[in-house]
Amino acid sequence: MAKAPKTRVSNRQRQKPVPANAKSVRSLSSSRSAPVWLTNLRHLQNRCAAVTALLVTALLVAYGWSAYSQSSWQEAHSQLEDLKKQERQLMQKNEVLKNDLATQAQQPETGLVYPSPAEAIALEPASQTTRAPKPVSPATQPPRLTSLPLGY
Amino acid sequence: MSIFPSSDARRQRRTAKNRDRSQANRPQHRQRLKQPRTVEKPVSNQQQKSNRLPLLRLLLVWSVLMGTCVAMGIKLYRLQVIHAPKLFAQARKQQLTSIPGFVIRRPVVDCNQNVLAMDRLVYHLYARPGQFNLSKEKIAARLAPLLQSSPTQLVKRFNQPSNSIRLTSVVPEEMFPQIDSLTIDGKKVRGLELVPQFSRFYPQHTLLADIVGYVNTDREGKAGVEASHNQQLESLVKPIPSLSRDGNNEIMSYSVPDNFAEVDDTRLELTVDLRLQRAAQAALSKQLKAVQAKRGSVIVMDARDGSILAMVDEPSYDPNEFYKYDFELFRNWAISDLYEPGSTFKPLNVAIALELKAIHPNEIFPDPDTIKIGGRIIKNADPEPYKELSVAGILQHSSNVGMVQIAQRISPATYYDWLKKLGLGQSLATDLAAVAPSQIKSKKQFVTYPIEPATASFGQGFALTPIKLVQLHAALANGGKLVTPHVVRGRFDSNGHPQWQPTLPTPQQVFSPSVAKTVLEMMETVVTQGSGKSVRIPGYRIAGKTGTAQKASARGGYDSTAKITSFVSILPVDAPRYVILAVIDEPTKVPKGQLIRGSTTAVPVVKSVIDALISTERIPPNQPTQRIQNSEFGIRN
Repeated sequence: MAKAPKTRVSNRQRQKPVPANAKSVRSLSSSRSAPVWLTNLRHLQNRCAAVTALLVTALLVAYGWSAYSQSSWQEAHSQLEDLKKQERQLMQKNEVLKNDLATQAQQPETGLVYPSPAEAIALEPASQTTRAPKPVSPATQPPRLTSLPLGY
Repeated sequence: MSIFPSSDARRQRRTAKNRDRSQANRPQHRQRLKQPRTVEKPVSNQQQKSNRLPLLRLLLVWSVLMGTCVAMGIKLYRLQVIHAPKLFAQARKQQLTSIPGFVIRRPVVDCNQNVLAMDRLVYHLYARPGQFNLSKEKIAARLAPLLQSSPTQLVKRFNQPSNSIRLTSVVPEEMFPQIDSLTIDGKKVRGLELVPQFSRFYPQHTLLADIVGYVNTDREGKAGVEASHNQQLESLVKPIPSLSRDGNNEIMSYSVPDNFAEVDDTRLELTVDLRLQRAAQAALSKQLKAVQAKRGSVIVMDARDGSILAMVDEPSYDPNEFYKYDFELFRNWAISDLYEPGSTFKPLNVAIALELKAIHPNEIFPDPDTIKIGGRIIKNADPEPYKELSVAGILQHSSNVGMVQIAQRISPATYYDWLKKLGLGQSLATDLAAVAPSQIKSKKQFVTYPIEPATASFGQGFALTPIKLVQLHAALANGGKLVTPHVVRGRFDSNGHPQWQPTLPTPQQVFSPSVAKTVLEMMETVVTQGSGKSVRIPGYRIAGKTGTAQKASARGGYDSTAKITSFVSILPVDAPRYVILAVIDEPTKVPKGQLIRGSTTAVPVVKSVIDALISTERIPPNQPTQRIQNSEFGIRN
């Protein structure tokens, strides 16, 4: 029986086998936690962004409202001035017209005369007699409703 | 894309370095024993260059941004610090405007809210021929119809040696756009300027001039209510020193004061009734023409409180164009001129005598045509052989002799004191401007000479204003009280709430109500049986008294031809309220067969006014003449 020839094995070879790329690849933990200051800074950044968005919205609303209220105030102001002008002119024209009519009425050719007591009708006030309320007769009752409409 | 190199690239660079280092240190034979494996390519120089680029780019961008920021900061510093005051002043000058303070005059209205005086906006039109961009003829041709003038006249005015020519001062508000944007051949006319100004406008022209008055060119009230109530009429619009304007020249709302939009809507309301005033004016002017008189006046007053319902003076003036009239016309004759009342004063003398119990109402007096007093002969105006007259008869026939006899029953001193008590010789308390005080001779003269009380008994020898006579007759109508004649009811806002009302003095009781009633009933007989017959109206009880007085001559004594006639009336006698006085100065023409008397000249005017008064005030008749049977209208009681 022949023995298998002994091969010399180096100490290194006797050691536990090591992957070929053990020295070239360094495993990086994917779940390495970020430092606390960075996390806080990120949170602060998020909050600031939200506050900024709110402030920008509020600013736009405030600006829009101020511009709108200014334009509507100006519109109302010009309307007021216009109304004042109209009132002045209406008052003036109304009085001029009344005066013209009265002056024309005084002309004899119009055939108008001043009211005179001779032509006035004087009515004596009615005597304050208290009347008894009339009894409700069938005629005063509301009419019966018919299903058919009436044509005229 | 991140500007930082990726972690992969870093890793590649690191592994490449390590590989190089290990290969360099490893012996050659070992390399052969090594199992074959994939080897990464070494990083080239080009790649290394490109890895350096982002940093350069970063620096470049940062420096550009920072440079811009610095430049902007410098610019900002220059604008906000160095040039700030100058720029600030320049901006304020552009943005700010100011509204100067000005005075508007409140409207004047009658008792029915008809506007009698109001402010209207007009424009003064100035021409600057030096700035004309078109020929004067062309501009004149276009302007002439707008200004109701002729083109040749306008060209003449344009040729005046002046830089600025005022063409007109009354361009109405509604004509402003037509002149302001006047274009000829598509070109806007330059050299015309319109300056706005408030101007007083009186829609009724001459009708109420003597009550309302006028405002001069400096906007100051110069007569009537415009002068006497200037303070109540003026409304100061406060100046606004700084108002911001935007780019469109519109006012910015934040810069206006709180009361910016407040409107003064108050009006000065008068007691005058425009309808009655118009009727009185028409009646008076018609009669003045008919009798060819110099002038005339009508006053209608409410005897209960002294409020004047109508006050007309003829001839009058147009307050819109006051500068065209004689200054004499601006005086309200009814309140500022004195005259000797004559017989219209007789009822007051009767009241004094009754009050002193010097006479009895039913007493009979002999009435010869003449009576001798202090060496002088006093005659009746119309010589009629009346044998005897009652006190009422003396008034009916306007007997001077009868009145002298009544006056003789009173001691001159007591009589004088009574005349003073009635306010003669004193000024009249009223809200009207420029009321003349009545005149009476000194007590010494009155008591010394018997002719003085004798002439005073028939209304001569002293002088008063028509308004004073109305006040005295109102005392007979209201139960003996001297009320204050006034034309202003107060200042009211548009809702009718009073903002100001005049405080009138408490009426002074001069006659007892019973004496006033007795005299009034005597005056009624003047209308029913005496000289005032033509004023009668069926169904109405009217009292009255005519007057015809000689006018005092400038040379002393009395003018034999110039007369002043009048008629005073009170109605209704059963509930006295209205006093109407018509005075006609120097009537010269009456129908044939008539004499110049109060009955022939002044009574017709009062009759017309009473007709209008009954209609406007809706005075019911005392004894209805036209009763409508209710059955005619089918009314069943």
